[in-house]
Amino acid sequence: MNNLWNELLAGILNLEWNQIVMFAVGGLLIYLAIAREYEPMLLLPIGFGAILCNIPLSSAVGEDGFLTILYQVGIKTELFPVLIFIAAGAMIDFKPLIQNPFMLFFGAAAQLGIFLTMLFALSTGFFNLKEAAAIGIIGAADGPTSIFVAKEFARNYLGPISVAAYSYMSLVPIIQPPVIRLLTTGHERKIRMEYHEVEVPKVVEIIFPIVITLIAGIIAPISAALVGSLMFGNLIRVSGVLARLSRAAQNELANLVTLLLGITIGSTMAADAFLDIRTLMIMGMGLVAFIFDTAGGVLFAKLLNLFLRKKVNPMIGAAGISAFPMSGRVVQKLAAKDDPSNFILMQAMSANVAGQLGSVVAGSLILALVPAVLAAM
Amino acid sequence: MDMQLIGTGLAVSAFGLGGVFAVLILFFCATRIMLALSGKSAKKGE
Repeated sequence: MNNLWNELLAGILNLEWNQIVMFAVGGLLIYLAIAREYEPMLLLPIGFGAILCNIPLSSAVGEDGFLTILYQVGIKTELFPVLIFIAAGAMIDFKPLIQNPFMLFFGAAAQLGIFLTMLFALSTGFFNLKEAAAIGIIGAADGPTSIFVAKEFARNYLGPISVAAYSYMSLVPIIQPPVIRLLTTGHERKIRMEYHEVEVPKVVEIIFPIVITLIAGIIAPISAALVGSLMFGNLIRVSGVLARLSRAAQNELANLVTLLLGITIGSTMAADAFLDIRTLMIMGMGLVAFIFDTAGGVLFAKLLNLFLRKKVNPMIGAAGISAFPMSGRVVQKLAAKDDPSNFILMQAMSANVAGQLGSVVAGSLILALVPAVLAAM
Repeated sequence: MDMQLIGTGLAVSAFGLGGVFAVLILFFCATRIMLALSGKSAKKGE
């Protein structure tokens, strides 16, 4: 009889305070997703995954738990981020960037936040080099890249790093404007940029993803998976003969993998690992990374203006982060606020697309460099 | 603060940011070359 009671009350008897806190954390994420619409496609599954994995004796996790199996199959093998990249590639239009390749430089400059945040994380003394690199990559403003690097370097912090990356991406319209305003004058924000519509031949659109994959893959072979999958998705889109596959990648594939990715990430948020001072630090440093990214892009544009005859609007630099299309829209909105007739959306979107390439390259280089530097020590 | 660790972090940062710029400069050059070549072949076609 006693055994029967123990069996019936096993869940309640094994419930610990930190699991209750995690229910609240999961609930908060679901609230943010539904009430505030902060990246609902990810935060809602993450929140629910966090609740599921913290139920005492939960059958969703553990050796035969479906969330553990999803983790082994989708995250450990890097399959989910790669599939997301194929979907993302099919959604991205690289034409504005091909028309204006100069914007690629802003896509590089806005990655500054990754490296400054990594140094900041190291200086706290709480994290080793690999963990600091995984935290810094939140600044890539690119969820799949963050997951890819975190899985490799800081599996313990996969949950907080993913939550930080996706949360701050949705907060770009709140984070970026004050930083941009602080670093630019009213006069600079009113700078107009000429836009010339360059016709991009179809053949260039098709060759672009292949050439980019070859360059990135040969220079940093570790980038082949990320850049290659992104560019494969884009090749499907621009080829003109795979409309059905392109639609499937943009819709069914993206939706299905996002759903599984979210709940699987949530399942890594076990109370023991998540409720730690380091989690709070990671959330804080994620914000720092986005601020440094924005500042890096704006300051780089200001630096370029010292040498350029035709000045660029320095706000364009802030759009060099990977959060597409929010960042480009934020920049256009700010430009229109100071001068309603100033239209820099096309340039901002080009920089934003460049940021998507920059973030993947940065993530790949970090994956290659950190082990190499550690081996050389 | 572990200065050796910070030193390694600085090395990763320098090579990393330099690497991102180097790769994107190559992307820039490749895109310009592709546009120039396609422009030339379009002119020839006319």
